[in-house]
Amino acid sequence: MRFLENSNFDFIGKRKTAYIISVTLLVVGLASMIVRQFNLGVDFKGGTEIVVGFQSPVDVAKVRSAVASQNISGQIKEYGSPREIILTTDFSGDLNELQASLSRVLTRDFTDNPHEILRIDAVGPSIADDLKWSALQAVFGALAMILIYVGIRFEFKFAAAGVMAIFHDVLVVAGLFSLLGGAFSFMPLEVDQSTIAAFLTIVGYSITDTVVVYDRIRENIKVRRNDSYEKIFNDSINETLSRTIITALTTLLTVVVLFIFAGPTIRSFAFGIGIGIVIGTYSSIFVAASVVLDWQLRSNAKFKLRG
Amino acid sequence: MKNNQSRIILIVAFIALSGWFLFPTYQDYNFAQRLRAIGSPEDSLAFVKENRKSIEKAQEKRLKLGLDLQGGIHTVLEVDVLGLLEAKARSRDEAFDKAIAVVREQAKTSSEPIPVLMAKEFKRQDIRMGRYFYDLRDTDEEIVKRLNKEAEDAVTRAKEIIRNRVDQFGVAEPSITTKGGRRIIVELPGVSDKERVRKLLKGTAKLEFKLVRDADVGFKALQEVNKYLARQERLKDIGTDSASIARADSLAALPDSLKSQEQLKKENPLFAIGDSDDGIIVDPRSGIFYVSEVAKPKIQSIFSRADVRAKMPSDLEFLLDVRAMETEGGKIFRLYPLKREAELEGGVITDARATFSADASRPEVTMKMNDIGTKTWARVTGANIDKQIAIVLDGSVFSAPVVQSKIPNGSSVINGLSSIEEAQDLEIVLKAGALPAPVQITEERTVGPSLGADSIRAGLFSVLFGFTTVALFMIVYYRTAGFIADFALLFNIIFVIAFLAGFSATLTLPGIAGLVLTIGMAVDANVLIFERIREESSRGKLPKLALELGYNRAFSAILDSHVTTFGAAALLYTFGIGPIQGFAVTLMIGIAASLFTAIVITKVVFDWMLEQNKVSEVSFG
Repeated sequence: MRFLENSNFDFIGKRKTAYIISVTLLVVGLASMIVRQFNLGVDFKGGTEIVVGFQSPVDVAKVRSAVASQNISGQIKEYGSPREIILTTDFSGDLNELQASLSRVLTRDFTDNPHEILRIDAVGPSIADDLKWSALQAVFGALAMILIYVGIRFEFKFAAAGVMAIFHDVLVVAGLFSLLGGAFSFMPLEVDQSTIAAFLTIVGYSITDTVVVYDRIRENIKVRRNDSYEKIFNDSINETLSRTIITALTTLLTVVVLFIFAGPTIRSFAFGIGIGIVIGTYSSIFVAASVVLDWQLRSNAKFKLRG
Repeated sequence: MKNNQSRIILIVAFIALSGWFLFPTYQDYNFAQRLRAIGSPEDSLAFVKENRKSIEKAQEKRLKLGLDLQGGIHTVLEVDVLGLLEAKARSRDEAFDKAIAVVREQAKTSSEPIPVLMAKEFKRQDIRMGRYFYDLRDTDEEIVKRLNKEAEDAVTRAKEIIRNRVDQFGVAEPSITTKGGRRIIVELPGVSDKERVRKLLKGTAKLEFKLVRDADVGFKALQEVNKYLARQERLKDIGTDSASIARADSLAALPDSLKSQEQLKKENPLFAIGDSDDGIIVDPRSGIFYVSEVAKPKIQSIFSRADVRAKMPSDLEFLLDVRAMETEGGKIFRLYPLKREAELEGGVITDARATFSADASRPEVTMKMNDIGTKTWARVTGANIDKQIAIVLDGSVFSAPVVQSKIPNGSSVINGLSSIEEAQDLEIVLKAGALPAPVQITEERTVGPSLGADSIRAGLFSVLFGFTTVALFMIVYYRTAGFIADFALLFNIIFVIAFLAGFSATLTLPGIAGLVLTIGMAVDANVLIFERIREESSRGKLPKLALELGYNRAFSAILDSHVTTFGAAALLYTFGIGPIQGFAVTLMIGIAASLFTAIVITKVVFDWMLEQNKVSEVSFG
C-alpha cells in the first residue's frame, strides 16, 4: 500500500495563504492568552485539589451543598466521570482538618454511596513559584539548545526558522488551552506540569518533522545546482511528504489510545500532544521551509550548509 | 557478513543485558506469587526467613513503580527556619516582630535563604542585627553567615529525625531528601493513612515539664491583659483625642453593676461575659480557666502578641489542654497558667514505650530519663509535692498530674491519650527526638491505592493497544518490512522497560504515557528508511542497492531528529519533578533505543533475508 507517492503539490506557491492562516491562529491564541489567560492547575497556582470517587454516579449539586454546609470553601466539579468529583480550594498547611470534615460530611450525607479519596494535591505558594520558574527554564532551554544544534548542523537561517516554527506550534496549542480551558468536564485543559511536558514533547516532535524536511533540502541543494531554490524547496517537501504524514499518523494513533484510556489528567496531556502533532505537521509542510526560503530570497549570500 | 557479525554480537549483548536488568523484577513477582499461594502466616514467615537475602535483593533491583501507580504520599516539608531564628533572638520588641512578619510574607514566595531576607528587611528598617543576635559588635555579614550555618544544621538534623520517625513507623522504601536549603522531601510509597503520617511528620515533639502556677496569679495576669486590651479597643473606637479618652476612661471606672451587658462585653474583650463563649471562662468555684472551641483561635492569637506578652509577668505563660471536655454548651479546653521556664525538657528522655495504664483501660506512654534528667526530676518532684506539673508537648498540655511523692528513678508518664495508635506514634516521636524547628507541609500529593491500581490497568491497556494499532498499520502499509519494523519495535519496548529497571528509575503514569508515545515515534526511523528505499527502487535501483542507499541516506535525518528530541527530553528531566521526570526518562531511553532497534536490528534481518534471496520490491509494500 502506498499513498502520496510522487506527489507534486505546490506548497511553496501557497505559502502566502499559509502565512495568513498561521498569523490568524496566533493572533486568536495570543488574544485569548491575554484576555482569558490560562486555567492554571494547582502546580502553578498553588492550592489544594481533592479528587473523590464514589461507588455510583453522584449528583454534583448535592455534594456541593453538603460540602458548603461544613464551611469548606472551594469549587466542586465533576471530574472525568459522573462517579468522581474534584474539590479545588485554597492551600492550607493543615490538610488533616479539611480531609476529616470532608470525609465526615460525605459519609453522613451519602450513606448508601460510599466514597474514597482518590488523590490529594496540595501545593503551597512558594512551591508553585518554583515550579513555574523551572517550567520556563525547561521550555526556553529546549529552544536555545535546538537553535544551537540545528545552527551547527545546517545554517543559522534554518535554525532560526525551525525555532520559529516551534514557537508557532506551541503558541497555537497554548492558545487553544487558554481558549478551551475548563470548557470540558472530561478533560480540564489546565496548565500544569504535565502540560509543560506536553509542550516539550511538541517542541521535540515539531523540530523532528522540520529537520527531516531540512535534511532533504540540504541534500537536494548539493545535488541539483541548476534548479531554483523555490523548486528545490517544494520538491523536498513533496519527497518527504509521505513520511511526514505516516509518522504523524502512527503517533496520532497512540495519542488517541492515550486519550481514550488514560484518566482526565493524561487526557489533557494527550489532547495537547495530538493538536501539537497536527499543527507541527502543518507547520513543517507549510511554514518552516517557506520562512527559510523567503529569508534566503531577501538576502544575497548563498547557503553555506554543513553536515 | 563480517560486518553483521559484530552487529549480531551487539544485539545479543543488549538482549542479555535486558534480561539481567529484568530478572530481579521477574524474581520479585515470582516471590510475591509464591507468598500469596502459601496459606498460613507461619509458613509464609518461614518462607520469607529462608529466602530473605534473595527477596531483599530482588526488591532492591526490580522495576520500581512511582507513587502515582502504587499509591502513597509525597510531601514537601518546609523547616520553619524563621521561627527557629526568631526564637534565638534576645530582647525582642515590636520593631523586631514587625520586621519578622514582613520576612515571613516574603519567605512564602522567595527561595532566598531566610537570614539573607532578614538582613535585607532589617537594613531597610535601619536596625542592626547585632541588637538581637549574637554579639552587639558583630557586623550584619558575620551574623548572616552564622545564622545561615545554624539554619543548615537545623535542616540536616530535622531530616535525620524525620528519617528516624519514618523508619520506626515501618514504611518500605521511603525516600527522604533535602532540597533548596529549607525543604525536606519525603516519599512514602504504599502508605494510605494520611492523617497519621501528617501528624507523625509535622509534630515538633518538643516535650517540656512545666510547673502549674496558682490560679490567683493567673487571674491577676489575665485581668491585666484584659484591661490593656479594653483600653486599646477604646482607643480604636474614639481616636486619640485626649478629652474623649479621659471621658471613656472615667466611664470605664464606674462599678460593673451599673453597666449594660453590651458595655461589659466591650470592656472585657478577654473574658466570656454572661452566657457567651467568645472569651476565657472562669469557673467561680475552682478558679480554673476554660476556653471554648469557638474562642480558641482568638485567645491563641492574643497570647502570641508581643505587646500582650509585655503586659504579663515574664515568668508566666498560658497554654491550652490538648483535648477538649464535652459540656452542654459545646467543647471547652482547659487553660493552664504555667511557669514559662521549663523545669525539664525532652532531651533527657532515653526511652519511651506505649502501654496501657495499670487498670488496662487507657493508653499511655511511659518514659525513662538519663542520669542528669533523673537527678533534676527527683529534685523538681521533691520540691513540689502536692503541686501540679504539666507535661507539655508542642505547646499543648497533655496532662498535669499532682506530684504525690519524690520520683527518684527518672520515670514519668504521659496519659490522656485517645487511642493506642496515638500512644504508639508518640512513642516514635519521643524516641526519635524533637525537631530543631517546627515544620510545615508546603506540598502534598497523595494517591490512593485504588487509583494507583486503576492507573496501572489503564497504562497497560494503552501500551498494548498502542502497540497493536501501530504494528497493524505498519504491516498493512509496508508488508514484510512493516513486520520487521514491528519486531524491532517490540525490542524497543523491552529495552525501555529493562533500562528503566537497570537505572533504578521509577515507572510513573506519565512514564507509561511516554512509552506509548515512544511506540508512535520509534517507528519514525523505520518509516524514514522504508520511504527512502521505496524511492530508490522506484528510480530503478536493484533491491540490494536500494536497501543500502535507503539506510545510508536516511541516517542523517534520523540522527538530527533524534538528537533534538532527546535534548528536549533531557531538559524536561532536569527541570521537572517526580512523575514528569518519569516521562522524560522513558522518552530518552525510548529515543536512544530506537536508534539501535530501528537501524541495527532491522538491518541485520534484511541482510539475512537478502542472503536467502528473499528481498524483493514487494517486501516494502
